Amino acid sequence: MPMTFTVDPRSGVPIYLQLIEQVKRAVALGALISGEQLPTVKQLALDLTINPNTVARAYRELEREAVIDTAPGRGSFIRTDGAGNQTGHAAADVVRDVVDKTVREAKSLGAQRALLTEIFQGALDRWFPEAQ
Amino acid sequence: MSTVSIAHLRKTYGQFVAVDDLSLDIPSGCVFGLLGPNGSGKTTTFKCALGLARRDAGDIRYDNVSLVPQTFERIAYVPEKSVLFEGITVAEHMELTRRSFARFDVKRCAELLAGFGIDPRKRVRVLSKGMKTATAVALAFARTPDIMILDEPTSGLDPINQRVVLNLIVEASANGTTVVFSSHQIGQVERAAERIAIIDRGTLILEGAVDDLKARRKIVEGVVDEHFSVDGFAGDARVAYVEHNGRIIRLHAISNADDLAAELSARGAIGVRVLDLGLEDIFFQSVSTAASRPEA
Amino acid sequence: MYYFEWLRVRRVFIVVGIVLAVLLALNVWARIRVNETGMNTNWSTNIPLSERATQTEHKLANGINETIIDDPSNGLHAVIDTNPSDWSRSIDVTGPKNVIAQSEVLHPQESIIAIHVVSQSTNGATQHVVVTQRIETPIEYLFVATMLFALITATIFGTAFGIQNSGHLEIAFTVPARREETALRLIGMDLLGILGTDALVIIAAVLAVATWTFPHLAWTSQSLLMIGVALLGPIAWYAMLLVATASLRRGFGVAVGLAWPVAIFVLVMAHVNLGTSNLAQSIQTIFGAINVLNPLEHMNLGRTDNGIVDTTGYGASIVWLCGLAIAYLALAIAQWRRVEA
Repeated sequence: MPMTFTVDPRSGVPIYLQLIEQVKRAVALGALISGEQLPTVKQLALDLTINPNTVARAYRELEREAVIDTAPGRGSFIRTDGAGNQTGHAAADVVRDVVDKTVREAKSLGAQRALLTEIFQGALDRWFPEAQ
Repeated sequence: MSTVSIAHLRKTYGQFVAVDDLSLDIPSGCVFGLLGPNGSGKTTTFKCALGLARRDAGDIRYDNVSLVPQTFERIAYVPEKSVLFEGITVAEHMELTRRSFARFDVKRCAELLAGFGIDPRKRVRVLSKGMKTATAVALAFARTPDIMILDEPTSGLDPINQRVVLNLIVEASANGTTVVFSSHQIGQVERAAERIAIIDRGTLILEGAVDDLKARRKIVEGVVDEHFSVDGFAGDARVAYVEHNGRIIRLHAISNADDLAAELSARGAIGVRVLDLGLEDIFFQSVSTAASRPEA
Repeated sequence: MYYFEWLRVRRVFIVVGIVLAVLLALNVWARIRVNETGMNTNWSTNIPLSERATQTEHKLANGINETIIDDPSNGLHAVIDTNPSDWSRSIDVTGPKNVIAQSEVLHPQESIIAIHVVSQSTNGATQHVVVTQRIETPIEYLFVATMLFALITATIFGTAFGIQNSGHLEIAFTVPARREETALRLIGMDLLGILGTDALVIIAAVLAVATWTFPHLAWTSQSLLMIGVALLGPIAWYAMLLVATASLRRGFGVAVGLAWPVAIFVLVMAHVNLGTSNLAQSIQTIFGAINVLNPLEHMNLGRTDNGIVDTTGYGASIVWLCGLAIAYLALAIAQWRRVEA
């Protein structure tokens, strides 16, 4: 299995969410490509020494979100249909979470909407200079 | 199917109430972690569940059937303290176990012992505390039971062998075994357990899936001015308790932390953030909550 | 669980075996010493002979070994026929009276090798003696030794439940068997240990006898009953110890150790003459009543009534020992099944 995962069980973030996030990120970054097989629930549970039902929950969630396909008896695979879209979709999920958290924290620190717009514009200009 | 169900268990030793109205439902194939301070009633609960101690009240069921001798073919118990016979060898314990349980796999036991680096020819007397624990664990897992009750199954073991034991639990669970275990090492429970219960002074304080608890239990923190009133949050069902030190307010949320954060912001708090809690934090939060209101 | 008990039994067998082997070795040594110091079974040499004496040996047609001794210096003529099948001897000694009087053959001592004089007659100058080495050992004698050994092993096994209680019930009570069943298996193993000790001691005793003479074990009408008492006594003693320790988690060793002085004290107080005062009489009555439950009371293998062996009591003893053993075992099991880990 080329892909390795790591989880931090001590973190306050539920382990199954950590796994989902890592799979999505790997798909978004192309580290996992369509059709690629994920470890079995048992294998991943043993590799990470985490509860198998937790792994199964993450896989169920990923299947529900159409990131992977699970064929009984064969294993779980990254979905093949519309792989490009899928990757974009997974990336959007990750980005949305990060931005949402950032905005919430900024707001709680008393930042105004105008300031945030200005900051985001600046960041976009720096990382996407060709759009100017 | 291998469920364990404890209903309204009560056990007293003279005046001392060791377990009081404790109910736990452990689903089939679940790894269930039982947490609690020393003397909170974990071991007593296990002993009552196994009929080793007589309960004053309550009901214990395995797959919805009361405990009968034949149930023990399917249940393996690793007690907290070594119960091995000091004067005989590890191999003789294997033979003893083989004669008691039809499902005992001698070859598997030998492999497990080798994995722990235990020489079966040694007498139990010369083994360290950790090696005694490991021997008991190997004897239990070699029986491939449907239900395992493990009381501190990693005590005295080095980190490597602790991980071996945890992986045995994970593997057994993947194969459908129901595992109930207690540990003072919360990090291990966090890894291996799907569900946990925290008990303190014999009563159940908190029970649920580890990931759900982590998703729900948060600290919502914000900075407020001197005139801020906590009254609105103090009685809120979503809040376990409120810490209010000077200008910092911390809401210990049981659920809906994001809503609470939004409300706290709306009421004028700045720097509001939601802090994730590890199981250890949740443990201390629960136990100290229970301790702070002993008459409740 | 019973396997652990078997390991205990095996260890006890080994120790008993070693002790018996040492005792047998001492016995053999004693036997050899006796031979060297002249307690002789070769009777012909006990007849005082001069240097001119001649001795000829030949086999008769019927398989008898005949030894003929002539001593012309004192006119002695002896014919000794030895039957090799049972070592019995027919001895004819002819000669002057003073010579015959000196020959020990006519005055064989009773001894542990017990040369038995079957008949003795005088015909003129010829003394005719028939002796046999056949001695009969009353079989119950062997069982006295057996009972002593078995009582010791019974005392060791009496801690069976106590050992389980001292931190091993988590093993004993989490097996797929009813607790009564586990208890019975454990007890069964201990009984095997006690009866096995009996067997080992009997074998050793027979071997010990055999070093001196061919063991002819004699049965009397009472033998079977006495053997019964010897075998049942330690079992009843074991059962009593189990009752005393069935619910003890610690101190069971002390309890078993104290059982001996207590039981002996009760036995003595029940039988010794305490006097005729009312107090003494009532104390004696109380101890008499308690003593009925004391297995030692029913293990008397030397019942005598004014010097005459009392043969009526063994049957009653057996009934008592059986009853006590069963009652004590039942009580012990009833207690043990309720012990909490």
